Amino acid sequence: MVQDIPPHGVGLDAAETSLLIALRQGGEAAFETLVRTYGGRMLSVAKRFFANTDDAQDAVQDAFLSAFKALPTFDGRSQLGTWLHRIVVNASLMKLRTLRRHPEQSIDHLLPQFLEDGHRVSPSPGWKNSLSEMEKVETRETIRNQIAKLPESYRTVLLLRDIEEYDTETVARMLDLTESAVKVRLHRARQALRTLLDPLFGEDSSC
Amino acid sequence: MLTCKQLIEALVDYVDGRLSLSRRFAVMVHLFCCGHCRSYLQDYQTTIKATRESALQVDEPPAVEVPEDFVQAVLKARKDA
Repeated sequence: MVQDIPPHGVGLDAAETSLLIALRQGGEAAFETLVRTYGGRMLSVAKRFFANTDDAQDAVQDAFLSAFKALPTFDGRSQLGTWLHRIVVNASLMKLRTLRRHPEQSIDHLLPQFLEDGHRVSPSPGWKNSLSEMEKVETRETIRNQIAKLPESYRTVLLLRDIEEYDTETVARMLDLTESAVKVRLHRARQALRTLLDPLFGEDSSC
Repeated sequence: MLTCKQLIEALVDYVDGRLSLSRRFAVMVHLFCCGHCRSYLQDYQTTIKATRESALQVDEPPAVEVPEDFVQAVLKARKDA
């Protein structure tokens, strides 16, 4: 059943409403506009999930094909970009499931180590200048590169919780894991990333 | 009192506000007494913020370019579907 398009101001702005009408009429130019307008943002979302660009492009292509099919049922109560964002995250997760899994590298060496009495082994001094550093474009690039170093099972949970901001229950459903497993992976991913970011934000940082 | 190991294990629930009142109080007492764990908590929260911030920048146009061959590939895939 084709959903009615709501009036402007509900979810879509005037330009998006016009685009959605053109898309539903099947105009080739409208599809091209959709891909050119939202493709870049969708690629950047997908690239967070994959180690190589080809897999990210495949996921975005799958996402567009799903979106084209779902256009008649899109109710227009969220922005097109928000709707497509959700679709590309789901397409990325589907694609990850189809990829052959390689044994993942351990991240134990990136986690805090403890003495028998429960104290931490050589705790490092806390970060001092992280907030001002984060405003720099090159710092954000470095953070993205460090996130990409995490093994896929940890990176995926980190992305879904700390970037996509899904709650633990939802992530558990999306990945077919227990909530407890999601929390363990999230905690380990954050701790490992904290260690990876130490050269950037720690006292010895030359940045 | 909690050990540093127990404190760090509790952080994932602490930052989510999911600890019981008694457990939360135990965490706060440890944090009050232990500067190393206070620093670690601060870094842990900064790591979460850094992850979030790293994504914001790439979402902003014109940082993201759509390769022309990719646009054509998607349009072709739609026709072939």
